[in-house]
Amino acid sequence: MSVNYTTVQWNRQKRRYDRIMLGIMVLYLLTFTFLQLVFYPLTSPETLIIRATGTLAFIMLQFILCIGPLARLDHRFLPLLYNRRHLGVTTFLIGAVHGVFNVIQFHSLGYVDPIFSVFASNTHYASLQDFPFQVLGFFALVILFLMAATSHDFWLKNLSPRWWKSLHMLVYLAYGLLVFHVMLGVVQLEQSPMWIGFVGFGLLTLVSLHLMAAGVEKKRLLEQMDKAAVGEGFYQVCSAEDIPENRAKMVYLEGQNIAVFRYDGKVSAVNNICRHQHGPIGEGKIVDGCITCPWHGYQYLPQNGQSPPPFTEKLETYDVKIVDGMVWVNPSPYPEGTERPAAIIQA
Amino acid sequence: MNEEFYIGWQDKAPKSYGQSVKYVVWTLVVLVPLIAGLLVLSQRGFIPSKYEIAHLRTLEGILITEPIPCLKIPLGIDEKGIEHFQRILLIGMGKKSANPALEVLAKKTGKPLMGKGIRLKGKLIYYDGVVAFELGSEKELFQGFSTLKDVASTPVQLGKVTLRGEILDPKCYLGVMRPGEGKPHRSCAIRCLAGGIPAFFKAKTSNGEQQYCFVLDQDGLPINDKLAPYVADEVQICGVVEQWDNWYVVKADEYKQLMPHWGKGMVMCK
Ligand code: HEM
Ligand code: HEM
Ligand code: FES
Repeated sequence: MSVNYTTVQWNRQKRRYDRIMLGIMVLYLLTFTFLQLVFYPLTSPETLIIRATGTLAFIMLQFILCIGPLARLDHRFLPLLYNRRHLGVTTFLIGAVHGVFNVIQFHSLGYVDPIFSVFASNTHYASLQDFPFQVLGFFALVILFLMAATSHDFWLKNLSPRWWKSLHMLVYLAYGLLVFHVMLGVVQLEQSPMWIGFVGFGLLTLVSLHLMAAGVEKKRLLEQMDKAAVGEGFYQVCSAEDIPENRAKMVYLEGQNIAVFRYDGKVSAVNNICRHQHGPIGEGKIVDGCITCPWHGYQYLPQNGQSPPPFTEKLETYDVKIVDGMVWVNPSPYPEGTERPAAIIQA
Repeated sequence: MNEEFYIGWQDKAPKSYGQSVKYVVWTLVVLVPLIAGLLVLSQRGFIPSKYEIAHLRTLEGILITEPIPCLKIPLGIDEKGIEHFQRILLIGMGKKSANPALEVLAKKTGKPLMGKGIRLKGKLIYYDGVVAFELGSEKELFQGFSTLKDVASTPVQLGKVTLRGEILDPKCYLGVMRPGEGKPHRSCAIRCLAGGIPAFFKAKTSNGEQQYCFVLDQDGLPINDKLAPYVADEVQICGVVEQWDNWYVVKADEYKQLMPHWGKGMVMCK
């Protein structure tokens, strides 16, 4: 399986993902351009480029932000999540085309530096209606740039997943900035209910999806806590029969997020948080003897939480025992990668 | 129980996953052009302003450098013996007024240019009867002096008025950008005014028509810096309107008497 893993740099799915992504983007741009030229032949080419790329980048960001909660709500959306960073980087590129064209068009060829002009031309910072909305777009673009620049797994490792994740949470800030960028900008000119609806509907969808996903998550956490009963540092989790073969039960005990896997007549427990991007290990599956994360397929051995060589990711492990067919877990963690004997399920 | 499990790095996704991805993709293929269409169709449209970006022309006229640089093109003499002119606004390249380029030209030719007959090369910008001319590059601009003689035209006083409308930069509005007005264009117009391009006013008359005029202060001098904060808002200007050949110019009273941009009611003229 590690052979599988190391050689995967490209694969058919990834190529298809990118091809479909680019195809849909081209479809949008062509439709937009065609209709604009047919219905508004007076548009200047700059306005066409600015509007087509601005709206596309906004729609893509909206879509990216929907993928997370969708995949939490239904695992069949996971393939969308797998290559999300390609979507993200591409969104940045499209947003950058929009931003650069705007800076050239509206701010260059004057007596001051164009970037300075973005900040200093319209100075109604205290007014909501007259706010220099370009500044909001500028900061959103900076955030998208930071995320695109650090999207490689190299940075993920070097910044540590926690930092990386915090950085990537800024995407919500970027989204918020862009909502105002559009509402205080072009909507003030066009004043079309369609453009307002476009932003409003997107925002509503996003918020509802996140609330729904949070609801599901909370319910799951509550169920896990109910299951537990104490004894000598061990908590009773469930009956061994309740865990499907090669799958896991997730429990939340004493602040530890734990995944209890059943495989080959045995049970092992590891930390539930993937070392890659904090994916939910317990929603994964044992494939070729390795726990496989549902998000991007990182793998760990169930008995010691170690990724098979040459990989070095390690999870904390926990003691497990089986008494009368019931699985008990001790939530005090062993250091990452510590080998713990699996509990054997008696026939 | 061993349902299908998706692993991104595998070559093929399990069937059930492939199926649901297919649904998502087809939904997007339908939805995406629909969104594009709705967004395009809900724009409010563009005015037929014109910038002859690829067409260099030579204009011959009488050069006026102050307070608003223009070329006066002779239109002929009427039956009363009065000579008529059309004024064409002169603008520099980019977001700059014509003056720096004209100063360079004056140095080069060693002559003051005010009131001189001249031939200049550049590009036309026009909309709704108002014409501007973007000066060509330093090399191509000057095409020689001409024998045209200036006839000082006296401004026609049209009295004191109150105007409502939008302050614009004429370069973008008359053709360089579509749209060249409104909030999204505010920063750009401020850049243009800061570059010395004359402040231009699109006034709405009481019968809903549009009337254009240039804005100067009471002494007939530019006040771009004072007008900049009011660009793209609905403002009110009070002042004396004069007709300079085919142009209207409003000599605005005090800058206080413009309607504040945050719009706390109308300020009536004295
Ligand atoms: C819009 C164009 C694209 C952008 C902006 C982009 C961006 C990126 C970035 C930032 C990474 C590093 C993250 C990582 O390690 O996975 C990456 C990785 C990768 N990209 Fe792209 N990509 C683009 C198009 C493509 C295309 C067209 C293909 C293949 C046909 C492709 C195949 C890959 C592969 C194989 C990796 C390595 C992933 C891994 O090792 O797991 N990319 N891409
Ligand atoms: C330096 C950064 C940016 C600047 C200076 C900027 C400036 C502008 C300007 C001037 C407009 C109005 C254009 C018009 O008249 O149509 C606009 C509109 C818009 N912007 Fe930006 N923007 C920036 C970044 C972004 C980014 C990163 C996004 C999205 C990812 C974005 C999304 C939009 C959208 C959706 C619109 C409305 C559609 C349009 O009118 O083009 N902007 N922006
Ligand atoms: S979070 Fe990416 S593989 Fe687990």
